[in-house]
Amino acid sequence: MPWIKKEKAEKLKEHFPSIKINQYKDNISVEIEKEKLKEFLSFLKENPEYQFKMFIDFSCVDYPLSNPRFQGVYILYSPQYKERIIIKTWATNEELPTITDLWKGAKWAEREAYDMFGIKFQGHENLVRMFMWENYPYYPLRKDFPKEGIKNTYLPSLNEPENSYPSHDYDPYHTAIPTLQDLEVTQKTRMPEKKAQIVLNWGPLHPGTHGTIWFIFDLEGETVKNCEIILGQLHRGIEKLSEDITYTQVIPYTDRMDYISAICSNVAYVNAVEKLLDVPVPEKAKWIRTMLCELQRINSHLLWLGTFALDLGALTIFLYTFREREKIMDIIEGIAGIRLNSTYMRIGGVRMDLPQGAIDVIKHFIKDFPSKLKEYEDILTKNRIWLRRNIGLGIITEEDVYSYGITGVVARGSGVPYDIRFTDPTDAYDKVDFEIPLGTQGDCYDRYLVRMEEMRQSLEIVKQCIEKLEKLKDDKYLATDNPYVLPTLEETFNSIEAMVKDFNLRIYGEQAPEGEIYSSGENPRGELGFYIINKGEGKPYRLRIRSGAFYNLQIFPELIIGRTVADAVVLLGSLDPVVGETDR
Amino acid sequence: MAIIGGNNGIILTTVEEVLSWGRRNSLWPVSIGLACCAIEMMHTAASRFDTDRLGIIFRGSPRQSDVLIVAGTVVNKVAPMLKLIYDQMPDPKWVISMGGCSSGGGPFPTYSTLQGIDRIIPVDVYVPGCPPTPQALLWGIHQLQKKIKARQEGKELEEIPVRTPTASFPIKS
Amino acid sequence: MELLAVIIGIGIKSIIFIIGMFLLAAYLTLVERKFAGHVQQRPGPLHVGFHGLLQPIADALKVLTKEDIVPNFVDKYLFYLASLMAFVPAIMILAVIPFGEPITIFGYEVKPYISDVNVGLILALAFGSISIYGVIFAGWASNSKYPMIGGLRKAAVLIGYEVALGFALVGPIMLAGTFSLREIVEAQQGFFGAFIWYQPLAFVVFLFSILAETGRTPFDVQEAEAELVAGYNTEYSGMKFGLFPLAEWYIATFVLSAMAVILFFGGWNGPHIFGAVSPYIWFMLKLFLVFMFLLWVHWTLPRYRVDQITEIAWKVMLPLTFLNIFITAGIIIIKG
Repeated sequence: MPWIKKEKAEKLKEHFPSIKINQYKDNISVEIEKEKLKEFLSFLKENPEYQFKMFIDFSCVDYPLSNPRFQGVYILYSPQYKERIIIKTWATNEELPTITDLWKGAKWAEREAYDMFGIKFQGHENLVRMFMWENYPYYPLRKDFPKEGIKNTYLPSLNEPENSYPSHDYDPYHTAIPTLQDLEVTQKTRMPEKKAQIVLNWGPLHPGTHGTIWFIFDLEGETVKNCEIILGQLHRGIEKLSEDITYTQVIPYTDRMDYISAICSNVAYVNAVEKLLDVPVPEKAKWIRTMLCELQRINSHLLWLGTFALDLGALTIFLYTFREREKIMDIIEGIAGIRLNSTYMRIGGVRMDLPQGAIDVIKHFIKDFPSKLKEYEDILTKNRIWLRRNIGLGIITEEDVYSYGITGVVARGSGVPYDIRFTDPTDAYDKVDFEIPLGTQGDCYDRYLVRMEEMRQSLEIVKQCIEKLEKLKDDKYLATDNPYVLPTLEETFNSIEAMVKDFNLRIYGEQAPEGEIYSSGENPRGELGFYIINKGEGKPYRLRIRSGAFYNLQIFPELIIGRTVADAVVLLGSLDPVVGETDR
Repeated sequence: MAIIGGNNGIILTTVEEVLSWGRRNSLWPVSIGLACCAIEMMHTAASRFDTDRLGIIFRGSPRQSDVLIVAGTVVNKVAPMLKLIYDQMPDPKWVISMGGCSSGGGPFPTYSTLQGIDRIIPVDVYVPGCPPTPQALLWGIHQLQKKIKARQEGKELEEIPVRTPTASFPIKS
Repeated sequence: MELLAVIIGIGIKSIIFIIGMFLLAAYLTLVERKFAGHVQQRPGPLHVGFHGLLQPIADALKVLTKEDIVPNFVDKYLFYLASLMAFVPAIMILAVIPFGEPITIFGYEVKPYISDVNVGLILALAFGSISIYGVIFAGWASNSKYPMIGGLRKAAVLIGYEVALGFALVGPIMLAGTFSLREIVEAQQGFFGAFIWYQPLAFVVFLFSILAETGRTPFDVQEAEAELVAGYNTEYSGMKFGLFPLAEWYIATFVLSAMAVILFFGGWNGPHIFGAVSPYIWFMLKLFLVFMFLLWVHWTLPRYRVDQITEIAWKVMLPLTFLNIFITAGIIIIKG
């Protein structure tokens, strides 16, 4: 378990006597006053006994009744000792010192905290809104802000005929929509001055930007002299929404965050909640989860390969990978009932048992897939054009990985063996045998090779899962004995106790004990962490989502400076962000 | 065949019918993906479902396209830009709202999400689903083709008959 | 009187060629879409007409009746001129391309080409070079950022490859000793008479140049969709847009493939197994194969970056053509 030991944390008191150490389950959190925060963090980073070099996450929590009102939460990781730690501090006067000089990765996280809570960061280089536009008057994640926003603009539907009963539940008043001038102001604040010849807006609605990321390039000829990224074109307020619904109801939203690897997000979230609620998971569900996660990883990497090749002009690869994707989608549809956002996981297991014949279909896929993988590799891996476009582009060093909090394939491409499946194995990952491919250079080509190899390794894991699942045929797939677990549909319809339990859980939610938990899963896009604070209610008090793509994307401006627009496409493809996850 | 006098001569209607046929068989959508639905839109364009069968190819520039498939959640911040894209498209143009989010906000009744794109641009076909399957999108495209045909003939597209739902789960005694 | 007949003859032939080329280009789009479809394991256009045979007509009808937007911020004169500048020179090359030997029908001698000038090859190259202006004008007149970058990229690529293309043709010209395309074909008799056996280097450079000139995949930087939306024609709509891909992707590819057949594959030479029409069949067959080869490359490879393309043009292709010229000249001198 990758958490610092209590004894080791106690030793910190020798250097900083004023700290308070709390423990919930294995999560250790250290509370320190604001004045000593910078000193404490740099001590943790530099001291050879701790070496918390890697930045994982920063977020804020709003306690409207306490004074000071906001609490900052830092999560750090020590690659040396494989330990995590949580540091908390109260933001007096709604201000905090910036830590961007210690970890560059904190830049966007602090911007986000400013955007969502209105906390100022002293010393931040350009503290502007992260997701919302400039001139947006509110701070949405504060507890006193309603989740549906302030509906002050008359914006009726153009399709609804007047004076008739609306076809759906709709209100002609709507939250304010920015004007184009507002967006121009937003763009100006990100890049205040033009240094080179032209400023190119690459995105947000552009075929090559993988969704709705908005890049601003300052171009000299085709060479990028300066680059900035505007996010928030898909900010749907999932963190705010989940403060108002029960734990089970959050599961569909985790699907829609990283929609390419929905099952992995489900599993990461469900694991966090199970840890919070102490729900045991049946053996069979664990293996099903592991198997589906790995299938989904292959699926996600295939989409990455397809779009990456498409961005580089090889359109046919795109269609070839989609052929394989359709097969996996069919498998998932057969098992979960839905193709893309399957919502298959439940707290305490999975929604349904594996259907008849599912294993045979997956077996067939396993037999078939390596030859297809070879087909892609034949076309691309040794292709001279492919090599010339990829090698030496976007080199990420080990230092960058720690400083930016880069995780997932991008970190492993740079040779950092950071994989949650190894460091903090959930489900059945500690029982399966697999290897983690590592890159040597850290360039786009390495990331390509790592992903290709990961697909093979995932296939190995799926094989082992199938062997195991064949033995576990008649086991339970949902721990319905546990008071926090929703009964299956069949039980609900057949027994009154189950029905009452179902009713209670759906209406009042899972009444979890007071506590907080940080748990993460290895998504195809990096570490997807959930930091949940519960105040003894049936819904989370605060649900912070640590998105891998959000932190991975942050290094993009640094890498692209001095390269051309054509390289930007390749680099973006190799970082592989998904906007649903970066913006949440 | 009877030749009818007046403005609405047979030659004119034939020309209109031919043009309408050309338009509905060559619907080029803008290749803009917003969220989850974009993945399913890509699947629709890929080998298995293959929109190219129906003469549909995705164009990058809105100036060269006929259909705007709004695939995914439209948040307030992106709404003015979507309107801009719509304004840049040449007439005649159509809009398909793909999925719950763009049709009416979907599962995101929040401060930052646009509750239905019909508040900023007129919509021709709503495709339900979260996300709609490729089959559903193809249904939407067929529906749009029918609508173009109906409009040429001076009719409005008839309401789709709503089937009464049957119990989806058999209750065992 | 005789002059009048010649003028009428040329006029009729020109009209036939232009209309034929339009129809052919429209159906080449279908060929490409079908080909791409089958490469990608999907059927391609299928439901509009029998196996999509009416698809080009539907597309043409739609594009022709689409609203023709001329944005406010463009340079209107150049904006209109650009699409014509791209299209007209491409179709003008047809004037000098021979499709076969003169034949006699009902006592009249019909030449399957518009004119057989003795500098045909030079003319073809010159017309081809004019097309560059169309692209640059389109990029500049649009007064928008993506088209400008796309136009400049295309210009950079074309300048590099026009030079390589010109020098690549020197080899076949030296062997044939003439600039007339018809006479070049006549110089290649028999299976081993085709210049491809003597000029493989020149052929490779020529092939690369075709790909670059027509903007097909390893060199399609001008409208790399992931980077530049639609490249230099981003702001164009309606038929003004339609002329660009038609000219660049289909007519230019077709014409340059025809030149490749004439220069390297012995044109319409081939065994007389189809009777009187066999020269045409051979010519079309060879042309079709070259065209298909280009499509195959297009739908397989990823694309280069623009600086890599120009680097290849100036550092690899151009020296290769020089080497080819020296070797050819040396052999001609030695053999006397």
